[in-house]
Amino acid sequence: MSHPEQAEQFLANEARSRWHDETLWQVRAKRDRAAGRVPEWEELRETASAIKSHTLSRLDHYLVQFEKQTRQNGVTIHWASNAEEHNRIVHSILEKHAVRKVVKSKSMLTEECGLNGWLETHDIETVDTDLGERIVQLAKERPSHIVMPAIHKKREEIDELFQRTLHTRPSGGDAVYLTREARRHLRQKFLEAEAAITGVNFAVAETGEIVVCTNEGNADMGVHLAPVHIACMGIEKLIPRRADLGIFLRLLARSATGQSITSYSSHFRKPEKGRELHIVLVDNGRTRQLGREKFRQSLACIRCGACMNTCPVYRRSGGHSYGSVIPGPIGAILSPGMDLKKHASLPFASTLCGSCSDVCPVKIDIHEQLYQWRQIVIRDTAGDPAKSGAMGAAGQLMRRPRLFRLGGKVLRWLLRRLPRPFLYSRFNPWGKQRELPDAPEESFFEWYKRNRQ
Amino acid sequence: MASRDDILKAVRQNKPEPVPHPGIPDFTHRMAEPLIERFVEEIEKAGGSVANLQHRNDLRSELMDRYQPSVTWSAVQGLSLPDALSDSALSAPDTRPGEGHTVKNTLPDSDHSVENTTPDSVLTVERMEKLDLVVLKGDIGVAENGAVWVSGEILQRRVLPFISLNLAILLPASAIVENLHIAYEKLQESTHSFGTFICGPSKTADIEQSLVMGAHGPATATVYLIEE
Repeated sequence: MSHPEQAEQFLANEARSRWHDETLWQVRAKRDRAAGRVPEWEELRETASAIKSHTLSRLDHYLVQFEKQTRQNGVTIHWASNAEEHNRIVHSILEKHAVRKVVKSKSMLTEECGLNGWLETHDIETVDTDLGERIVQLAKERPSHIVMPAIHKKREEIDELFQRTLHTRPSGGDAVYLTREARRHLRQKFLEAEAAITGVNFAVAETGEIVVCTNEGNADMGVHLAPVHIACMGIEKLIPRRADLGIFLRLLARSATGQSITSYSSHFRKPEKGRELHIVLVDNGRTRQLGREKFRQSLACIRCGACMNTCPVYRRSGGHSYGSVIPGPIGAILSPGMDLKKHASLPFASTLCGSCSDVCPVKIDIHEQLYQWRQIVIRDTAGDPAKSGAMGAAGQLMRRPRLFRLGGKVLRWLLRRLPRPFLYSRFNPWGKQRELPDAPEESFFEWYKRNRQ
Repeated sequence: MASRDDILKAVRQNKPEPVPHPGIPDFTHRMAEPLIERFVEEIEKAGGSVANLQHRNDLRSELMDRYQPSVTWSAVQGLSLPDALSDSALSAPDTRPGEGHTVKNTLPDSDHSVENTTPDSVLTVERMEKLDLVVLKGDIGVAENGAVWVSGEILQRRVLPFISLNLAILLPASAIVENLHIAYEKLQESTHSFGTFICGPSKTADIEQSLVMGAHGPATATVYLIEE
């Protein structure tokens, strides 16, 4: 299903879509306040962007350096060209330790690779431990936002879900009670887990350390209790030096939720005594994206979600409407690179207002890339025949000034006189959920002629 | 290893022309407020709290005031706290069977011999899991965001700061720096195996953006600032 079709389903519930819109706008407002407290905010963005450009231009060097450092630190490094290889590697590590129970903290990469499903088919219980992720996992859904996975869910639904799956009592959606129950439920999972899987926010080539940021502390609970830690990361997560972390950690939480920093920013350099740390480096289309000059800057993304919170289309259509692992504006420029046909509608899920680029902490020119993807979609896929036909007709009309003026006159006349059922029929998508403007008495051309002669 | 070579080869083929590293600009002295004032504001914003102590020896009475004398607790020895706490009810040995354990955990730091180490058999997951309070030492406080650097080297078990119900961090006021850049300058030579910036308690807002403290770990986090 295309983005507009899925968005329509989300919009069918008007109250919910308005709530979604307003909630995310509040997060955007918090981001603005947090950024406003940092006088050097724009310098931080410039520097972050430049560090990412530098890193991408020497990525091979930094990957090798990172590998060398991690080896010295007693960490095992694995390389995976694609999602399947990633899943096989993770599974083989778990197999080796006869692991049957795994706790996971948030990782968009493992979502991208479909790791949970893979492990389930191998009879390994895989529990997402971020509360939002646990909620969508119990509901058998997928995250609708990369930072707030269950942002599409109302508290009453979560109440009902927990009653059904965790046998809680009805609480009318009491967030404190539900969180306490989730804590109890997940505490047990932490204690039982034989391995912990985490994502990676940043990996430092200079020191071989990885940094994982959470508010709940769920990554740390999992990792420090289980004998085996597997950290999965895309190769673009590298940064050159420890000192660079200062730039990115200052930007990340402020851009994501408007916090100055997350509750925990944990730096893992060596495994704890008697334990193992594995890092899986994943390509899965990233080197291909690196080769696309117009789109390579998308690899600088630090997954803060600011572009989603600000996007007028995302806020009103919900994350699931994108049908991609990463939704929103950044998802709409990453996903076509993975599967152009499947995600052909995503570059059009934008007004090209540019707000995403304005809030992006690493200054990715998201709306420019959306525009560039549109050119490719039109060139390489069938596109929408109705739209192509309309554009062709408009082209013909605009090439003929007299006909254009006559057409305008006729349209203005019709707009005033056609009955509503005709104007707001399925043949006029512009009349969907919006009132057409009042037709003016005269065109600009006529007004100009009258006033300037 | 085939994938390793494939990936590196693809990167070399596809990477852009070299772009220099921009370096980190000098961001010092940009903050308008006094450092400590901002540090306190940031921690409170993050749901934590700050208490001032004249001297580190005052910590014992502070903790006694704040928590029930019977709480189970664990402290790192790097604090030089054991003396202050050893005679307190806080450290009473396991006297109430069935009511949870009092783990008097004396962790080693570079100044202490291994004899002070709590055996791993005492610091079991079952006991750590029931801890009411963990007392730690912070190395660096960051004014701009309220984060405190805790080095893993002082933790006998890394899970300690994340597993207890309450967290107390002792931090010299003089260890507060303006921003993260200065903090990382101080950490530049650090060879920590593990370390973490902690700001406030464990929290979540995943249910309709309602903020709830104590998602998995500490529901309260207090930084005790020592003037000395």
